[in-house]
Amino acid sequence: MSVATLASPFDAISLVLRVGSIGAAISSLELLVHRDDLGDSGVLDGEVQLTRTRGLVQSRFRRWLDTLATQKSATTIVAVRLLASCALITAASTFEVARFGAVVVAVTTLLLRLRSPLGIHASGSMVMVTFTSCAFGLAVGTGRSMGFALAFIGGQACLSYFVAGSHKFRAASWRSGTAIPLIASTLMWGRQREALLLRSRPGLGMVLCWTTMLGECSVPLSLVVPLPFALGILGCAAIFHVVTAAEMGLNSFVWAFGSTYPAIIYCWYWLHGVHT
Amino acid sequence: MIGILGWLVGALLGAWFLVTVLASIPSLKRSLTRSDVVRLIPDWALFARPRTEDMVLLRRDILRDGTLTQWRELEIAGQRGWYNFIWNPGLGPRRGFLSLADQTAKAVQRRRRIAWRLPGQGSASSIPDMTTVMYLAILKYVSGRSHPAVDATQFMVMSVAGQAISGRYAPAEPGSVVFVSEFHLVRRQEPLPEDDPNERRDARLTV
Repeated sequence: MSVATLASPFDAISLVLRVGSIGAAISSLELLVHRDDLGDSGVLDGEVQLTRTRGLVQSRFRRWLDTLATQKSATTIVAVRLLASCALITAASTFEVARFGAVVVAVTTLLLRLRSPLGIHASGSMVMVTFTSCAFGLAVGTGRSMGFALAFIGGQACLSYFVAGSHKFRAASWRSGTAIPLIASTLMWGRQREALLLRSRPGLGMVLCWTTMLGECSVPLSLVVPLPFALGILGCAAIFHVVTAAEMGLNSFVWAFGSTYPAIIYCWYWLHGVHT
Repeated sequence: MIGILGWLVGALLGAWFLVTVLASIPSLKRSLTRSDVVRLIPDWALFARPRTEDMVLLRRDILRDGTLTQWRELEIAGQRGWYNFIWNPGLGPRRGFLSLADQTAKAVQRRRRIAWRLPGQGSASSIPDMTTVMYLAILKYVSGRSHPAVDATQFMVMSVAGQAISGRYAPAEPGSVVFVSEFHLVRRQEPLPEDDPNERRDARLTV
């Protein structure tokens, strides 16, 4: 498959779904293997979370929400999501599979988010963005609707990198180069060897912080620079996610953000007047 | 008709994108996301103001024989492994608790000026915080993991810096106390064999 095929909306959306589904399948399988976390004595329990707003408490769908809160419902939703993701991984190049799979993953993802927003990182938000927009685009099924879905995904991806980078500029700890060494010194995100290395070499922390900020802010440039440079920027972004997966355990980011790159490339072709 | 639907999809996604852009402006974020229960509006400011300490959950219990136990850590998920770059089932629960602990810490900061204290063992804000979602979520989690011999439980959230270097939290090297709850009766799932249903032992409990 060559990069040029991503100028076609269905080929691009199909690849978005395939890559995104790998992440959705892994996260669904993680939840199923540790399904006690979704239960009464788990952190991801839905009972309390479904009282988080007055609207939810007084909802006329309260009985339905109570059912949604149970471990059994959550496990069923996650299992359906896993099956749909597997179908997409294997057969997203078939239009009907892509359409049905995208709708199922989108709906189950939204249900899980309604049940509890806890434990959902930006990668979960990106999964929601990609699958929901693909579901809309494929449900209508025209080149235009799929193009809008891809433009939305590409736009959200570029926005996400730019906002992540620019907001870091506002924080003194990032500007001074202390943020990454401090993050690396936590058990949640760090490891001893890297934490000690960063503590002993403050200059390295400074380089990493500024590389992260500038790198994140430059991803939107991939839409306007020549294609080889655009691919280079996206390649660097992918390496960044692989490194954060290895060092911080952010495994889902690789697939969630990686799935947006075909959409960014589609947008590049569209912006440069290439349509198929 | 299909053509119009295509434009409708464009309008819908365009509006969603516009709201996301506006919500990325710090001064507008709160008002735009207030009623977004499904979190349709993503927050892309990843690690912009990262929590640079680990949040640790501790508990102590009053047992049915009246014994007050020592504080001990309640581990949210297992320790990280080398394979977490591809398989990380502990990340969701850890993030979930971090989010609860973070909200707790912010609530405590907001209520730092509270001077009054009703009888109790918790932090100054623990009484008004008791009806908040984060308090109830942590309490439910702690209660659900109680041994049948536990009559009442109390939890504490601590922030501990540099754990990746110094090792896991140890009572001998405490961090900073963020929040201490009141004592709460634990929902008993099944009575112990010697349980006397007429005997109530909760008279000593404050809340």
